[in-house]
Parts: sequence; C-alpha cells; structure tokens
Amino acid sequence: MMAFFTLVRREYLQYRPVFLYAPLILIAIVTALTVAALVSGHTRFAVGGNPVGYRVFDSAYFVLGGLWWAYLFIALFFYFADSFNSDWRDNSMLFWKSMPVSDYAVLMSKLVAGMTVLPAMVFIALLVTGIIAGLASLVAPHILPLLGPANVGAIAVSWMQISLVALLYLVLALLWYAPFFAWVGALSTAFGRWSIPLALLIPVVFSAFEGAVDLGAAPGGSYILGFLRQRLSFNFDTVDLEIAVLSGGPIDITGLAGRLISAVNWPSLIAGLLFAAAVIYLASRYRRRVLKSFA
Amino acid sequence: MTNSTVAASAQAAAPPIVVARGLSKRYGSREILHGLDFEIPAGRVYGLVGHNGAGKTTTLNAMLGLTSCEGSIRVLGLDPFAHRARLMHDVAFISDVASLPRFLSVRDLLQVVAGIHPHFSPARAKELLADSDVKPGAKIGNLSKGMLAQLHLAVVMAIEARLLVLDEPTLGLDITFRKRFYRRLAEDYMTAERTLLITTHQVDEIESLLTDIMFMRDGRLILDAPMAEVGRRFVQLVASPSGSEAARALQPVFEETRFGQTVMIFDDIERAALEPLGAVSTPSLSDLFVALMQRAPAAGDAR
Repeated sequence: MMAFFTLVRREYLQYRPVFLYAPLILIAIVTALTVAALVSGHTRFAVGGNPVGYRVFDSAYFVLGGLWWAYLFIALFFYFADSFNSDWRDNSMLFWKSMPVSDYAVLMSKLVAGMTVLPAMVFIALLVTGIIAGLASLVAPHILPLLGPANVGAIAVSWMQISLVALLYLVLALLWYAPFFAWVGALSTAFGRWSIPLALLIPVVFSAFEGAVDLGAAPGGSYILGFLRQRLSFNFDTVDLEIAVLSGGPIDITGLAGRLISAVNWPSLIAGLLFAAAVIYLASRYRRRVLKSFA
Repeated sequence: MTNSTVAASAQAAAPPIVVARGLSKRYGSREILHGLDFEIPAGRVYGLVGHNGAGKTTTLNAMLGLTSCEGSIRVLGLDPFAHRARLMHDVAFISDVASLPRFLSVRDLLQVVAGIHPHFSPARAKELLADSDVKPGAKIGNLSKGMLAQLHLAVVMAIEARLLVLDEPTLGLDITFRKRFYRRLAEDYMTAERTLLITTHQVDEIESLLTDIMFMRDGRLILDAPMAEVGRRFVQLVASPSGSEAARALQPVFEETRFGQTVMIFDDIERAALEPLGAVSTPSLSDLFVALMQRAPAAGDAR
C-alpha cells in the first residue's frame, strides 16, 4: 500500500504545476480581481437588478464553484491525455520498470491521483476563494450602501452549506465521469497525445458505421451517440442546484444531498467504473509489452 | 577448509541465478535471438559483449521481464515476464539510456524509491553520494551525464539485490567517470552473494572485474566461459618471420598484420607448440572479441 501511495505522490510531484501552482495562481487572480473591484467601486455586476436582499456571497461562491469545476474537468482531461504516456516520453519507463511495482499498479496510481489529488486541491482552492468572496461580501456594503449589511454568521453558514453541496456534487460527478477519463488515459498509453482527438473520433467513427448499417433507424440517428449523450449529461436537472443555492432561503442540505444521490443512475455509474478498471487493465497489458513509444 | 573454499563450494551448490534454455526472440519475420542456452551462477561477474544489434539488450530485456520470448528463462526461479514486479525485489538494473525521472529532485528520487522498494536504503544512497558532485536539492533534469551515472549507480547500489544488470552503464561518459564508476562497483558493491552482469563496448575497462565472459554475435552466444578458462584456452602469437607459415598450418581462428608483424589467435592449442614460432601471450578481451567476431560460427561454440 505504501508503494501505491508513493506512486500517487510521484504523480503529484510530476504534475505539481497543474495540481498546485495553477490553482495558486488562480486564487491570486481571484483575490486581485476582488480587491480591484472593491477598491475601484466598479461592482455593477454585484448591484445589478434588485440588490436588496440579494445574496452577494452565495451568487459569487456559486459562480466560483462553476469556474473551479470547469478548470478541474479541463485539467483532468489533459492530465489523463498526458500522464499515461509520460514515462515513455521522458525516457523514464525503464527506471519505473526496475521498481517492484506492476504496470497495472502504476496506471491505477495515475487514475487515482487524477481522481483524488487534483480534485482535492481544486476543492481546497474553492474553499479559499469562498473565504475571499465571504470577506469581500463583508466589506462590500461599506462601499456600496445599496447592499444590505452582511452578517458574518450567515456568510459562514452559507459558505459551509454550499461547500458541502459542492463536495457531494464533485464526488458524484467524478465517479460518473471516471470512465471517460480512464478512456482518455488508456488511449494515451498507446497513442500519447493523439488520445485527445482519438477519444472523440473513435465513437464518432463507430456511430458512422452504425448509421451506415442501421440507416439512421436509431433514435437520434445513433445508439452509440445517444448513449454517450445520456452518459455525458450528469442527469441532475431534477435537482437544479442553482435554484437550491440562490433561492434566498436556507439551503436544505439533507434534502439536496438526498436528491443528488437519488438522481444518480447507480447501475450506470457502477458499470462505468467497471469499464474504467477494464480499460486501465488493457492499457497496463499494452504497457507491459511495449518498451518504446510511438507518441 | 579455508573461507574461500567454503564460499566457492557454497556457490557451486547454490542454484543458478539465471537459467535460459532455447531462448528465442522474433520481431515479425526477423529472428533476433536464436535459441540461447546459458546459466549464470551466483556470486559471479559476467560480461556480455557483442556488436550493436547482436542481441545483448534483447537478452537482458528477456532476463528482466521487459519482453516476452520463446523458449524458457528463469531468473531466481521466476519467469521474468510473468513476475517482473516480484522479481524486481531482488534484481536491480541500469538500462542503456538515461532513465532517471527528470522532473524529480535527487532528494525526491531517494524518497520515492524508498517508498516503492522495500530493499532500498536511502541512508546508504546518501552515503554513496556524499563524496560525489550530486547535491540532494539538484533537479535530475539539470544533472550532467556523469552525475546521472553516479546517481543511478548510487541508487542501485543502495538496493539489496541478488542480481545487478548494467546495460552500457557508462555510455557517453569520459574516462575519469568510467574508471570511478567501475572502481566503486568493485570496491563497494560486489560480495560473494551478489551477481553482476555488465554489457559494454569498452571491454578492456571491465576485464579485471569479470569472472566470466559471454560474446554474442547475430543473436547467438559464440563464447560463454570463465575468464580463467579463456586465459588457458586462447593463445596469441606474434609470429616470427620464419614461423608464420608453420603457425598458419596450426589453423589460427584469427590472423592480422599489426605494424608489420603477423598476429594470430589460436583456440584450444598447447602453448608449447607455438613457443618456437614467435612470442606467445594471452590475448586481451578486446583482441579476442575482434578475433571471434570475424570467425564463422561453428557447432559447439559458446561452450
């Protein structure tokens, strides 16, 4: 187990710019933007519409959450496209092969690092930017009298509630999308950075064959694309996070968590995780046999 | 019995570290290894020498579980390809390319290897690096070739391995680093329990280190013998002008003219038969290598 954690740690060391430095830079940018907006008084966005009773902090934190998730999923996509091939690319494959760990363990450590370390770092960054947004919300009424006085306790409770919702959403979304990331990683093992176009091209080509055979009889023109469309949407429409967070009233955490969990198609999620384990296994078989990269 | 006799008989009784039978490797229609048969006993220092493309690295890859092969190969009793991860508990190797991960610092590398390898001692590695130019905070990507070789050697020497495989470990290094590398290996690493296999083109530099030598040509072993036997079996003659014809009649395996002198190498011949024909000596490994690489392979080679 110690060896596996060390392998996860080496992923962190290798991808520190993505895992640590980029979030730190983004935090610095958010802080600088917030301070600049407050100092200059150019906060039309915040006081647009009816500012009375408008929950500045909630909306700011909610928007920040969306931005962080966007960063996370883009970074994860590129991480998986890069890391599964990196040992070939930097010529260190033979060094890692001289260590008493299997190729499957190495690739699983890459998957686990991508699905835990990077999301954890991004979540911590979200919490930090939430605190910055909270502090800004406390200061804002002094600069913009239209805003009602902010309450430290209410902001702290709101910060905690939204953070919990974000954490639950993050965990479920990562589990849901794990097979897509594993797919990109497995392709990267064999094709290097070409995995980025191939991850999209392969299903499109298969659906084109399906269309040629089936003559477009499938609903939406293709069973494959239809399935992928369904699998790519998180199916949380019924939950409507935006309304839950920005409704103005207290967030019902238990109810929201229950709705999030019940909105998940669990058999599909479990099947996706099994698919992820299977493609990583196949990638490890490839890695075991091939010493040179074609990337 | 003396200590050395006890050690020698213990080595003889121990099972071989490597056993290969009919080891073959094919890439498409091209056969790289042609049914190799060899054994490497414990506590020996083997040199594996051959031209580029002779099959040395493929043989090593088969031993290290890096490639699948036909025939049979067992290292420490295990099928290397099926059990590479398990095998690497007791086998360490340095490949022919600079393979240390460039993104790590030296300190991180030692911590990572310590976390992964149960037989690695970071204290020992630090001790080995103490008098080198390699500093703990340095990034591996910024080290020179010589420093990389020192670092990699320190890492593998700090692993309690039963078999150490070095594939061209000093490639591209200057003579000072090469000398230091092999001296350290001989003085600080070799024990009666450890087995070492080295491939290199600079055969003369490792000659004093070796107990056994294997020559490979075109995927075949053309010589596999202890150094002592090589010294007894092969004889070099610098023939006198009057003795050349008589020496030629004794069928040397190799003949060339050096600075106007006729030099011949004989296999399995009584020295006494050659002494009247010129100056007799034992050929250096590099001379023997050149001689045997040019000879047509015969049945019974690699004995």
